[in-house]
Amino acid sequence: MVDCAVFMSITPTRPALISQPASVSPSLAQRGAYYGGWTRCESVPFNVAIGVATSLDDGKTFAKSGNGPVLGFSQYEPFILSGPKIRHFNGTWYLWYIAGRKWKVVEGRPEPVYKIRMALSKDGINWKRLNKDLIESRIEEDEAQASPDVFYANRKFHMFFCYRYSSHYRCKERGYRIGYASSTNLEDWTRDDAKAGITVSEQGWDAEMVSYPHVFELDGKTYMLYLGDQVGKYGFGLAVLSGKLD
Amino acid sequence: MRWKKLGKIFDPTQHKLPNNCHQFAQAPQTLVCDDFVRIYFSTRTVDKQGKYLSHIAFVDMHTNLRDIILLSDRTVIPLGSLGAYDEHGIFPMNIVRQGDSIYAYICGWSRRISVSVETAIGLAISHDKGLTFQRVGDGPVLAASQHEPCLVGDGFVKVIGDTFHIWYIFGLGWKKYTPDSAPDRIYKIGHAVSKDGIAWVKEEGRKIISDRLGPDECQALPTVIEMDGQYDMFFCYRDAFDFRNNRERGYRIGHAFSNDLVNWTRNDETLLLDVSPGEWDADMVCYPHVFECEEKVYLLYNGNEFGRYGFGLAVLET
Repeated sequence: MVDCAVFMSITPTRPALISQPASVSPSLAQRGAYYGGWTRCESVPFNVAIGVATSLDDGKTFAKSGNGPVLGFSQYEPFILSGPKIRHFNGTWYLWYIAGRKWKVVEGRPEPVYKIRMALSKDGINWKRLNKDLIESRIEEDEAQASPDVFYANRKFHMFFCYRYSSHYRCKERGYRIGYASSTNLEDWTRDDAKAGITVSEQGWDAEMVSYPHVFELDGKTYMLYLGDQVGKYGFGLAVLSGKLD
Repeated sequence: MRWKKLGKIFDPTQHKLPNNCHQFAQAPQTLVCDDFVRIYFSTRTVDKQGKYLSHIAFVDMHTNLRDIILLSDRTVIPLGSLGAYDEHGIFPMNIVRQGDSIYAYICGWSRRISVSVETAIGLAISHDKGLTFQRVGDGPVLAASQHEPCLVGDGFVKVIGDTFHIWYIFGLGWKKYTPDSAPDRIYKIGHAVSKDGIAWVKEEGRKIISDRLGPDECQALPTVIEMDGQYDMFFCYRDAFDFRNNRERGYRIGHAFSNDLVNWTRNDETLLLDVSPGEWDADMVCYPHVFECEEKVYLLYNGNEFGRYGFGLAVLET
């Protein structure tokens, strides 16, 4: 399944069912990773599904838990299962990811349209899909949404993600921007992109697009890692939160 | 158990088929009706690149299984949309009556780059007695998963008590057997259950039928019937490479039986339905489908070239 590229989401603690070998000291942290594994197709450029891997060396290397995906193609999520972010809230594992809606042919070239989705699990392996789009489309019906990342702060859940137009998006006007939504129950989300707090720069490495946000806390500060022009061709950057998420 | 061959009963090259299909009538599957038997099969056309697309068509036969009553003259189910699992073909399609509607478990094909193809099983439903089918969702109901990494296909569904059972195949992976050859696939028979025929619980990677030709044996298209309180499964099996033109390595019909639907005993040391030298099925016998009609048990199957020139019939001798 995986032969082209991998996007990973790392869990701070392991999902319960991935059994820990008896020979490993319990004090040694085991890391789990959810990744989007890519494969090339003929009529469209690629397809993606979500797999699991674990690490016994503090994240230096990972071994796949199986050769196939844990979240693969299904009735209402027919292709492009990607961009997984796993989080643990209130005893339940939540996986935010994207699922392809359609391939839209633009000037003879298939362009993928995908939406933000969610699944729940008790063990990190068997997932119950919500089977609905979490975030309403704002700029157009075929808006593509990617890289949902959920963060808890000030008694609310905050989601950062990115979105773009479905066609001619490899440019400043229609390329990726970072969006924002909030929720109190993890299932119903209110989108308010004005609160994203970050957009393209006047000039420089992220003047054309900002995309694929990942939000984390370190030493009392909240940071966002994100990609700039050409979806990270020349690397990623960092932003720090001023003020607070509310 | 002895099968008596009744010969080839349908040749696609002798008929006009919808979707501009000329050759192949593969993996025949029945919908047994009161006074006729509808036999669905996969037939082929070629696209602009000259590559095959498999479409479903059907032939209605008198219950004598000799006389043709009707041939489908329009699309039974269109192929899937761009990028979907069933974009480049449906082969095979298994039929299950469910109340007033008819469920079809379609094995969808889509082309890949590093290997030739990937497959998955989807659901379509007919409300017009099987003339046409509509998909339930653009994606599959049974697809690759953690320990069944590719090539989930060839579903055969049977409702036993209040449980849906599906026997199907899953791929273990692809292998290059010589430096110059294209990768060949290896697949095995698996099993899953469901309460509604849509949400399935797999045994996840358990190979329910033991290998006879070694670990790379390919097992395909299981079909199951209950007879005298025992379940009998027929399927086909072959070597993993050099199986297309080498008669010794091509498909043969296999058999296994079970009393509990969990443990299967393979029982095909003596071939039940072997190739017939000089006949339409001299090189291979494959894609079996077992069914009952007017108190007889029949087996539909394909012969040479994986069914390029049609399918034949055998009847179980008691």
